[in-house]
Amino acid sequence: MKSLRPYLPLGSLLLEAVITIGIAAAFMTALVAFSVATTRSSDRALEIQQSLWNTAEGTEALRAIAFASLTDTQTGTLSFAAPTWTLGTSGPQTLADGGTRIVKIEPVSRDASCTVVTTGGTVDPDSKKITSETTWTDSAGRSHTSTAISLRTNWQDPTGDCWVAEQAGQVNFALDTAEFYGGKQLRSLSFTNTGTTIVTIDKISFTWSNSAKLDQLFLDSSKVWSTTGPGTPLGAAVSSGTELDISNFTMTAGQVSEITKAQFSKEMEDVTMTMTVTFADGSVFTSGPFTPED
Amino acid sequence: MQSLPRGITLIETVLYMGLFMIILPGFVLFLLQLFHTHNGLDARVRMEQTGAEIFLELQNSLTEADAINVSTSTFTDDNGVLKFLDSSGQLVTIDRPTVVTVFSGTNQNVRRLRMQKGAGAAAYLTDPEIDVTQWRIDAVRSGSTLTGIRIQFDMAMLNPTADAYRKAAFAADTTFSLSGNTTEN
Repeated sequence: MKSLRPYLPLGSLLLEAVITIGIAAAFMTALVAFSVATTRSSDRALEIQQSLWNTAEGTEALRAIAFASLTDTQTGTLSFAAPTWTLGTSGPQTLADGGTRIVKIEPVSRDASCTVVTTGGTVDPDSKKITSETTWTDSAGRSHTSTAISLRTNWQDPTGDCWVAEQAGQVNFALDTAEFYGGKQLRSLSFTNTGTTIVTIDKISFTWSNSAKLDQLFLDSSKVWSTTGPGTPLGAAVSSGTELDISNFTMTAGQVSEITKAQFSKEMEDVTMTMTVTFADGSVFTSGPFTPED
Repeated sequence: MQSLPRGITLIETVLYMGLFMIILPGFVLFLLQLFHTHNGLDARVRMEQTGAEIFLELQNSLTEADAINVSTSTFTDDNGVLKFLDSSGQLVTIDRPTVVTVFSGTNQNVRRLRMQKGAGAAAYLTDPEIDVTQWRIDAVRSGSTLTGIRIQFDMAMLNPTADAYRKAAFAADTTFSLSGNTTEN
């Protein structure tokens, strides 16, 4: 009888099985690693999103607190008791999700042109640098921090020079009330200081559409310029367009004043004028053409 | 004599089938687990995206709001309602109704965040597989002036323990400051 033994595939059976199992194991390990990585990635995305809300809360809450309550601190905390946020100084504070948050309030310096500078300059009483920093530990034990930095300004009630409105912007001129009295005197051009601070008029110039000369100017009851003083130029009546450096005229907040007399040398009937007013802070008001009533 | 080409022997077939039967159930279970994990992952990513979209929507619309309707909003309640006029004077309402959704083959009550602008159709801001467990709104004031809106917003996966979904939750607590032009009524 012929033996079948020489035809048996000796040894190859076990090797093939081992190779198959090995490939399957490698494949499954890769799938597990992929699954774990994507799960961690989604954990991380949720944590980042949550920290974004927490970090934003820090700066937004500091914007909702009265500017006067923002005292400088490097270890600030925030607490909410409806309807008010309150700033503390014992940070960092632990948040509901286990992370921690610290808020910082720092002074801001500006140069002479009111540009923010990091060195030198003068501390601006109307600006604060606000920072919110949230730190959390992810599921793999790694620490992460998200930070938001912003600038808070006291634009609604400024006390410093950088945020006070230009004087020219505070004064309303009622050009339509102007009239020529007796043909040669400009009167009743009223103007109001609508701001909350004092303004000072430094210079005035008029243009008009005839050859008349101007020789004196009164604001309220004060003579602020004439050919014999006060103010300059001195000596002769001036032509259209001449800038008058008047005796400084000050208006308190809310004050209403008027040009009570600008004396011209000729009849001014139907004359069209313009007026330019320069204030002590250098700001300028320039009117459009206007024709005073006769 | 030339040997015959090797075929698959009976013993090989039996052994391979045996191995296959051992490995197959585990492999199928593993693939099912992977499938469910992926489903959960998808919902968790949508939860993260939902959080981001709601944050941006609120940040934009509240910052530009003309007025906050304090008298008709529901504040200091876990089922809050926020009403405000947007920059075009249109009434915007964000609330959290409970809606029925089919989940895992059964009807489930899900609290979803909803936004309605003017007379337009309301749009849901959250997915039906995400339950908004808290939508709490508070007015923030500095003195008597309304200066911000505080929002506490919690989301959770629907049935995270009873289903294959991996438990995930999103809890956010933030404040949106209002511009000086935003009034209240």
